[in-house]
Parts: sequence; structure tokens; C-alpha cells
Amino acid sequence: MISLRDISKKFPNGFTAVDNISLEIEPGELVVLIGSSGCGKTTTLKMINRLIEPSAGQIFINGEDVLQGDPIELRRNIGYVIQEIGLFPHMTIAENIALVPQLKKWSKAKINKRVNELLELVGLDPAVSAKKFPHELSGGQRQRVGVVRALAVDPPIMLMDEPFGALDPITREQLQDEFLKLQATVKKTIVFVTHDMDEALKLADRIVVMHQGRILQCARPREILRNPANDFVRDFVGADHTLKQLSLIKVREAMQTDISTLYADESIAAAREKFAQGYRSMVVIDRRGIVKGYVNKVHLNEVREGPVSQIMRTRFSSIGPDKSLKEALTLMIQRDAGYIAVIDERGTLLGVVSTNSLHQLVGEPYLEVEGEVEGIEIS
Amino acid sequence: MKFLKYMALHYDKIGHLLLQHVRVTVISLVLAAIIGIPLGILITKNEKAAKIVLYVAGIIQTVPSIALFGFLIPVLGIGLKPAVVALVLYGQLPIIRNVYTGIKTISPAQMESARGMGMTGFQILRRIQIPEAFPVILGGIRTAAVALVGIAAIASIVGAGGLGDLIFEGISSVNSTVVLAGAIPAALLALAIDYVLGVLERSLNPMPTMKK
Repeated sequence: MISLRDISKKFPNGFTAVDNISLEIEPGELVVLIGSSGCGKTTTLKMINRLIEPSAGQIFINGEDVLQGDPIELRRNIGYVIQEIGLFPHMTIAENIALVPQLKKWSKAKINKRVNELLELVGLDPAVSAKKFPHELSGGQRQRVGVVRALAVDPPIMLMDEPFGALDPITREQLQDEFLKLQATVKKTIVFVTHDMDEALKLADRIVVMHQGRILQCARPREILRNPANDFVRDFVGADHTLKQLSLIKVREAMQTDISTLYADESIAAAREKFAQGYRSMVVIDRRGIVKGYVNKVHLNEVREGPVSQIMRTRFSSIGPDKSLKEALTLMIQRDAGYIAVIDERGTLLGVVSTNSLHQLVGEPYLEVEGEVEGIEIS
Repeated sequence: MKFLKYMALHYDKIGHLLLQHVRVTVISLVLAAIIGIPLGILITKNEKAAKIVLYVAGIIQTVPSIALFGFLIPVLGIGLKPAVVALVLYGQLPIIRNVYTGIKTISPAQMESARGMGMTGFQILRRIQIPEAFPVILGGIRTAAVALVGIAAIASIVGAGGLGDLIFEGISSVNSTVVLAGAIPAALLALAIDYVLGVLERSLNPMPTMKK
């Protein structure tokens, strides 16, 4: 889709911002350029829509040499979002969004329809928001408008320069989540610049780590975390890269499913037999598989006869399979639990996540872990 | 009391001079805007040119108006012509300066997103820069208008007519009533023009909700 070939940018003052980089970006891919300030990430981004002209090299979009064409036409077909948003204060929200469609000479009816559609897409009521001016919106709302303005003519490519950088952390998270959902439906080819590794890990299909105008590493987020190309990347990822991986792995992928369980109506004697295999704790379910509680080995001696339900603890921690391991770990720490049950929306036991499984996952290369996970052995 | 009596007696003469005064002011203001606005826009493209133009316009402002009229008589003779030329020159600084700063203060982010969305330089000028700088530009024209009403009074000495005639007549005959008969309508004229342009500025403000 986008192909940068041996691109360099040397500014008139002699500063080489981008030093001979090449990059291939696939259609529908979200590529994040990351690095500290001055690494050339923004310059690289702006060369794609020719806000900055490269000093050397070639840029192709769908096989067409961008540098030979008309930059105005090029830009109208590429969405562009910047941190400061750049909404025009003298135009209403609707007028701001309508700008590029107008430049492309769309009909009024088509523009109106599109504006309403876009506002709804980001949860803004057209009846309320369309006629407002930018200063009447909150920062988060303004940035939503900034994003949909760039989407106005449905360009196949979006360039985003730290679009969420100026927002407070809560709004930023919110917009990132919305943005991911949006991207799942619109499937644009996106080049996204940030200096925030957490943001990159969260959003990127591929991360390009840049330093002093060069690409140090270009890989999927997990690969960057697992195998940083060099010390700079390792440092940039941060000392907590192990923890960061946890937010990238879903509970579903990490849970142990091959586990021993107790039935609530089973006898305590039978339970004792199971515990004799070396377990310290077991999840209790009913005959339909719904989680009812848990029993620890020490509870076995409280009552000698009767069903397991008499000794089971009903206050248990659980998590959905699509949450991240980070959330699972947070829960485990909060509840001081050695493991938590993974349940579906009906409460059916799907498996468990234990500190053990976390340790295995982030301690060894991720792919090798799959299938290796064994029966529950809570310590 | 004496003043009102004078006004009542000479209302037709005063009215005539007032119209003359309005005419020279308005002609000059329109010409000043026609020259100053494009010039102000043009110099936003070039920092060096901006410095020079604003400097020259500033210097013109420092020349005493009587002296300027004196310089112009040998070249343009007397009457409306030298008056208009002088007033147009005096009107340049506030107009050029406001056009320039109005456009220059538009945030770089807006300029970048305008370029990034594929607007041509002319489209940016027409749809972003001028509309957004509009209140500031009109503010410059207002400042110029008020100043020109005052300077137009002095233009009477080059035979351009206007309320200045009464003022000079009053001075030479040491009759303060006559001076006032010229000065008070001139002051009211300045206020009126300022008011009208102020109303215009608010009603044309592209950001209606930001009205004060």
C-alpha cells in the first residue's frame, strides 16, 4: 500500500532528520512510528503526504510514485490528524468536517449525510454537535471531530501525529479504545506517530522504533517486547517490558483449561481423595459447569462428612476470557488470590489463570508456552 | 448657549462641510483599505518584506500631518487630491498591521491541518485566514477611520474643505464658538463611524457565539 524506499530528509540547516529508511506498509495495517523527539518519526510521517519533501528516495502509494504527482490531490486522499487537532474556530463542527468533501466538490446533500454519519460514528449527536463551534466542545470531543474530519472523504490512508497526546490519561484511553473499534470497522491503512510505548503496544499491528533518523526495529508489538533488536530498543521499551506483555496477552490464550475441579454435591471424602494428588486448592462447580466457589486443602478438615458445598468458600475471583492478563494479575493482587477462575458470561468455568501460568508465559518465549500448560498446581 | 445658537444659524453651512468631511474620509478609507489589505496579506508570505513595509508605514505615521500636506502641495496642488493621498498614507499602518497580525496569529496547527487536508494556498487564504482574521482586520479599519476623521480636519489647509474649515476659521478669528462648531461635529462623526464599523464587525463576526 505505502512503500518508502531509501527515504532521507536533510534540512537546509544540515540536520539529517531521516537517514535512508525503507518501509513497506500493508493495506489495513496500523503501523506505529515511535521514538524520542528528534528521531525523525514525524518527518517520516509528513513526507508521506508531502508536507515535507524528501531529499532523497521514493515513496509509492499503490505502486504510484507520490513524488511525481500533485501534492494537493495526494493530501485530499489521505486523512491527516495532528495532536493540536487544528479545527478551524470560525467554522462549526459540521463545516469543519465538510471541508475536504467541499474541496472535492461533493453535493450538499451528500456532504450533510456524511457529516451526520461521521458524528454518529464517534458518539456525537449531530442534532446537538453539528452547529456547535470547536470551543464549545471538550478536548476529547474535539479530537473525535479531528479524527472524523480526516475520515470525511473515506480516504484509504490515515496519517496520525500523536493524535491523543494532549488528552488527559482517562480520555486518552477512551479515545484509543474507540479508535481501535473504529479501525476494526473502517480498516484504514494507518501510519501513527507517538512517543508513548504503551499507546504503541496497544494500537499497533507493527511498531517501528526510530532513533536518529534510522529504523532500529520494525516488528509486531510482542516481538518488540520479547526480542528487542538492541539495547536502545530494550531501554525504550522500558524496564517493565515483561509487565507490558501482560496487557497484550488475553486471558483466553493464557488460561489453563486442563484442571481438576470439585462438584458442589460431591462428598468431602471424594474431595479429599482428589486433593491427595497434591493440589492445594480446587474450583467448585455445579453439574452444569457453573462456578460456585473454591476449596483449599486446609478447609477439608473443617467438616468431615457431607457434600463439598459445606466447606467451599463462595467468595471467589473471576474474570472474562477476553480481558488481558494484566487485568487478571491486577485482580489476583487485589484479592490476594493465587489464581482466578475464567468464566464466560453465564458463569461457566472455562479455566483458571494462576501466578504460575503468568510466570511461565512471560518467562519463556510466548509461542512455546502454548500447549505446554498442565493441570492446575496452585502454590 | 452661544454654540447652539451658532449651530442653529449656520446649520446648512455646517451640514455642507460635514458632508465634505465624510466624503474625503470615506474615499480615503476605502482607498487605504484597497491598498492596505492586499499589502498586509502579501507581506505575510515574506518576513523581510513585512519588516520593511511595517517600518515604512510606521515612519509615515510619525510625519506631522501639516508637514505632509506641505510636501504634497508642490506635487499635487491643492484640493481633494493631496488630502486623499495624505489620508491614505496615514491609514496604511493600522490596516496593514492588523491584516498582518490577524493572519499571522492563526495557529500553526490550523495552517498545518489546512495544508494537510489538501487546501491550496488561495483556499487557505479565502476560507481560513481571511475569515479568521476578519475581526482583527476590521479593527484596523476602525482605528484608521477614527484617525482619518481627525486628520481630515487638518486637510482643510490644502483646500479639501470639511469641518476643518470652521476650525481654522475659528482659530484665525479667535472665536472658540466657531472652533467648537467644527470640532464637535467632527468628534461626533468619528464616534459615529466607529460605532457603525463596530456594529458591522459584530454582525459579520464568523464566530457568532464568541460575541461579547
